[in-house]
Amino acid sequence: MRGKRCIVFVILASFILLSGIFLYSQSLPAQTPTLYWGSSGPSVSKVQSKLKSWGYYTGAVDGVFGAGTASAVKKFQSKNGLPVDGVVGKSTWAALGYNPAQPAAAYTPSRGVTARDDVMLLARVVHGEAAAEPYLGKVAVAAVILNRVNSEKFPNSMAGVIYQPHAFESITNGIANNAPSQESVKAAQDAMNGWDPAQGALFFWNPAKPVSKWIWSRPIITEIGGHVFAR
Amino acid sequence: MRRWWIIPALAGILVVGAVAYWGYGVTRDNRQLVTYLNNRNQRSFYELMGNVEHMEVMLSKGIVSGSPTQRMMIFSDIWREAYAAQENLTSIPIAGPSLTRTSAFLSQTGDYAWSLAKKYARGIAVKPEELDKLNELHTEAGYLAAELQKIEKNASDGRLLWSEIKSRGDKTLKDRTPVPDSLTEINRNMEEFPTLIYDGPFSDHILQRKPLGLTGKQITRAQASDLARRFVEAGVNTKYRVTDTETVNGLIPAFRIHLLPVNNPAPRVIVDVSKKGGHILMMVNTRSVGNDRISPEKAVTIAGKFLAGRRIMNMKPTYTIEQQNTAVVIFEYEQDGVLIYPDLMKVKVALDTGEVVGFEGTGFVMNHHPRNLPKPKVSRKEALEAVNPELKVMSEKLAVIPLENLEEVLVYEFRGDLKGDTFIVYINAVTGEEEQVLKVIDTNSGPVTM
Repeated sequence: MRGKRCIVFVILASFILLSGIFLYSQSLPAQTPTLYWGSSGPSVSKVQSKLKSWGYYTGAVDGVFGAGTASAVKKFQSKNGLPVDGVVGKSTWAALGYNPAQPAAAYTPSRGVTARDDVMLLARVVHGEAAAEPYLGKVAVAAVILNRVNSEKFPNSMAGVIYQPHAFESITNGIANNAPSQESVKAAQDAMNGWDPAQGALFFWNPAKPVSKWIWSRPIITEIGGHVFAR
Repeated sequence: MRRWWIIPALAGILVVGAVAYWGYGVTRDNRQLVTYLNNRNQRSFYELMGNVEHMEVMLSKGIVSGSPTQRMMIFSDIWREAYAAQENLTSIPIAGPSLTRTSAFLSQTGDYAWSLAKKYARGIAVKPEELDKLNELHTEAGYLAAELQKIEKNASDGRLLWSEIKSRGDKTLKDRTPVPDSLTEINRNMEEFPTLIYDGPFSDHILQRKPLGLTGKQITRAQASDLARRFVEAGVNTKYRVTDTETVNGLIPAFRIHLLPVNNPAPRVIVDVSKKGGHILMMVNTRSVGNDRISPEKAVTIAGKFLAGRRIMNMKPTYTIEQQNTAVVIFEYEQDGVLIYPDLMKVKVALDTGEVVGFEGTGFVMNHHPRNLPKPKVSRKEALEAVNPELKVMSEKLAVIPLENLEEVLVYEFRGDLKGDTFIVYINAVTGEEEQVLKVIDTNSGPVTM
């Protein structure tokens, strides 16, 4: 019974967390004012360029609501089953693909994201891979992982890069599950703040250990402590 | 005293039985684990195949379809499938990074489709040659799908192994090739396809971009040592000596100079100086930092003086990250009152003594160049109209931000509050379009934008 309750609690907790993440990821809708003959400004340009790309409007995208724009709007309205009045109101904006500004009542302040646990995950791998390395070598290992996240050749998330099969020995043999040292945490933070002593490196290895021949064909950037760094 | 051996014999049988039972349990567990892992790999493989097949179909639909709305949805689908395909590909265990070309193809295709979807969403005309590229991508996706199907067929007929993981009992499987090795073969053939040329974040012109701020003449190792020493010593009482020099052949070829205080074996300070022009790329002081006694506000002043003392001008502090008794102050270049976000530098201040223990200038050297800033065509008031009216705007300024394709745009930056959440909205100062919305999240190490 206890176990079941525990599971229910975990599910609830993750649900709350997920909804938090969902909420903050929602962007703010842009304002969609009502437009008519004589209106001007960037929202008119928006309507014009949209109508132009869909073939209703042939004039210039100049941000001025004139005769050409009005007839294009009417054409668009009749094609889409809207009241043909030549005024860009709520329904026409929506048909153009812009949602009207939502009332803030629907917005709940997000509380789902408080800390970034990525640092700890990164620090554990740094500790597993480079515990005996000098400080600069630790920052460089962390930077390699971040460079991989940004590279199109590797997974797009930090967890994806770190847990990619065979990518890091300390993950394969479980050493990276140990608590990281303070220095490893500092190194991980420095790398996340933009310090990269490996200057864009995607690979590192210990030349004292047997490694695949392929890896030596990579252009080497530098050596730090016991590790070789390469692109 | 008859049959004295019965008891030891019974005990012996019990022990043998227990060992056999235990051994059976271990073997069963082991087999279960192997099956479990192989099932995971199979799942990834089948999902990858599904993703690639969908991609191929969607790419051909994207070529044929005539409606912008339809295309927008198709391209969003391609992006989603490509992203999922890459995640599945990278979770199949393959030794060594031998699938990088396949992975790059998936990222670039997804990203390219996304850039087209965005263009349609914004009503920007898509050129015919941009659609032509879809043909090339379609051919390559077709090749990949067909090869994956071949592997699947061989594997289900038992000619290929599902995984490199096998239990020791299965001696018969030894001489068969595992599926991952066949994937490596595909990757080799994909190297021959032309790479995609376009302007997204993964385009080759961005991956191979040149540092824009790397001006000046080549310097010698001795000059670099001298520059590094002066950079560390400026405004500080301690004198330093160079102990070691190395070279770094990264994006910006550099000399790495190791320094120690003249009368002390610690702390070690490392400075990277670019070979061309002698720009300082990075400085790291490896000393440990004690408890904080200095406020982050004071740290901002110290960091500002640090830059001024090294004749680095027109830098404006924009925000501070506080962690582990240090404050990292981020500076942006300012030109005619406009903040240039790509040209950034970071200064790390130890909050125990107020000493500067870190400097990062690579971003500045990569991006800084003389710019002709356009005049805003949209007034401040018109730009504000494009912002959600519920956002209580607290501050605003003109800034230059980089887009994904590294193109720079002049924007109005509005920072505001919505029910306790802070947002930053960027409105293009030339077209009036909303370029980006960022949310500021307070973490225990300072605010982060997402």
